[in-house]
Amino acid sequence: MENALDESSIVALTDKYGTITYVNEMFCKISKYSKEDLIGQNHRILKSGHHPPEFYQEMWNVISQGKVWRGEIKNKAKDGTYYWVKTVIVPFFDNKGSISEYVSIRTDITYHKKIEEQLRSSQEMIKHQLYEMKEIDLQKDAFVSMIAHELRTPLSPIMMHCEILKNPDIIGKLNPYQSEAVDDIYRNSDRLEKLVKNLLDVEKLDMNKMKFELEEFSVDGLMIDICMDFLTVMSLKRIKLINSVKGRMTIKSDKMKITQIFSNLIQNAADFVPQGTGRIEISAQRKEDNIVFCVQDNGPGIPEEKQNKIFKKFYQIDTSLRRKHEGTGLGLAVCKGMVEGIGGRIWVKSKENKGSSFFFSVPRQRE
Amino acid sequence: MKILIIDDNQEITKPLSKFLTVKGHDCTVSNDGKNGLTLLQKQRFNVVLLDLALPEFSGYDIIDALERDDKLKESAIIVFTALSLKNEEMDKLKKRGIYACINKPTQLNLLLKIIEGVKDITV
Repeated sequence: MENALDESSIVALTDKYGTITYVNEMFCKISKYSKEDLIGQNHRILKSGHHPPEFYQEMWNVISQGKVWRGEIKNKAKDGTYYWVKTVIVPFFDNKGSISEYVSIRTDITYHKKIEEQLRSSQEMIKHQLYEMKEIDLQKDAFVSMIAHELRTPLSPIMMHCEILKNPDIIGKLNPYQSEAVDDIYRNSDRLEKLVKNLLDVEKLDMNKMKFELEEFSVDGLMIDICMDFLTVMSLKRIKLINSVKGRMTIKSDKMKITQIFSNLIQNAADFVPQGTGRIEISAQRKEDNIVFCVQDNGPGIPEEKQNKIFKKFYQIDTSLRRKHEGTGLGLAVCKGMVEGIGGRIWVKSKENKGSSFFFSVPRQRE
Repeated sequence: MKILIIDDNQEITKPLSKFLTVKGHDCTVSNDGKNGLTLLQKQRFNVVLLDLALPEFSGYDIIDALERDDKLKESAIIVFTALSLKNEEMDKLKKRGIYACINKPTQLNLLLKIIEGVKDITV
């Protein structure tokens, strides 16, 4: 029994004053002291300085009352290195019932403590990194808002003046050149405004901050409104915009977002269709529990190998300096994020030189 | 309608007041937040177009002051800002009694429609 204990644990005996009277081999091995070094010494010889005096005080209070003390102690070995032991101190009594000696049985837990320490410091590091990331996120958020504000502020008077110049009641009629110039200024400002909106939307989608608001509305009514919104721009560009929705349908979804997705897809199509013979057709069809919307154009089409990339942020089919079409490559990424946000999906069918059809499905009822 | 425009940017208040005046409204402009609040405390307006980012005394300061005096609902206050307000922030403003939040830039005709939709405010 004694052998078994000596083989598995670090064992020591002290008198009632804490003077060491026996240590086993394992005790010597871990403390790096010899038996001769230890016997006759007070147990304090092993103090590491890690624990406050109250720690030892509490231990003595327990054992001097004849109770068993259990705890973890950091000790200092002869060579100055430290080790941790899980300790049980049991008091023994003489015939008169007074404490005569203490037996301490210890297990080496230095390795566990080291792992614990590493884990704690990794957790601290992760906590710190998370905090820093949150700070960066907040800074990025504030920066994007500031930039958006600074970009929008000069656009306001530009666009307002354009509207006033185009209003014959206010300053009279413009000559054809002036009128065209004002249209150009307005269109370009509008383009910039939409770009700012897309940038803000991408930021919101990235940060999971986009809110979706559900309402029940008529799909055919929405399509008519969209066509009306684009009437002027399309006639200026001599593009035929056709609404081929038939029958009545209702949907419970985010009307504003669906309008914005349509708006982005139609604008994209308008940039690519041939001048003079451009044609864009919008449609909606009920398919089981979804409405599948479509924007079809007679543009140049998208090569098959590039079709799965066009919904990625900042992706442009042609990024060369000689590219015909401008843009940031955000429009379709925003569409994808929004469609997914309302529980749907977006895809494209296209063949080179045969036009493109962009589809997006939206659940008819979404809670 | 009596309309007060509070915006520090004269390049905005000039075309805006011109447009609204031509459309038959009585426009007053303040390019300073404190002055705008003084005007609101002395006179009554059907509609206030209020910018938020004003130097020294912001649109929020004006809203706070009007709320303290229980005057927030005396006019239809339309927040007209280039700041990208979050949905929660807009909801909060509306709960406090703000009539609408419009992002700059916007089409003047759209703004006019919203202004002319204001009812139940008499001056």
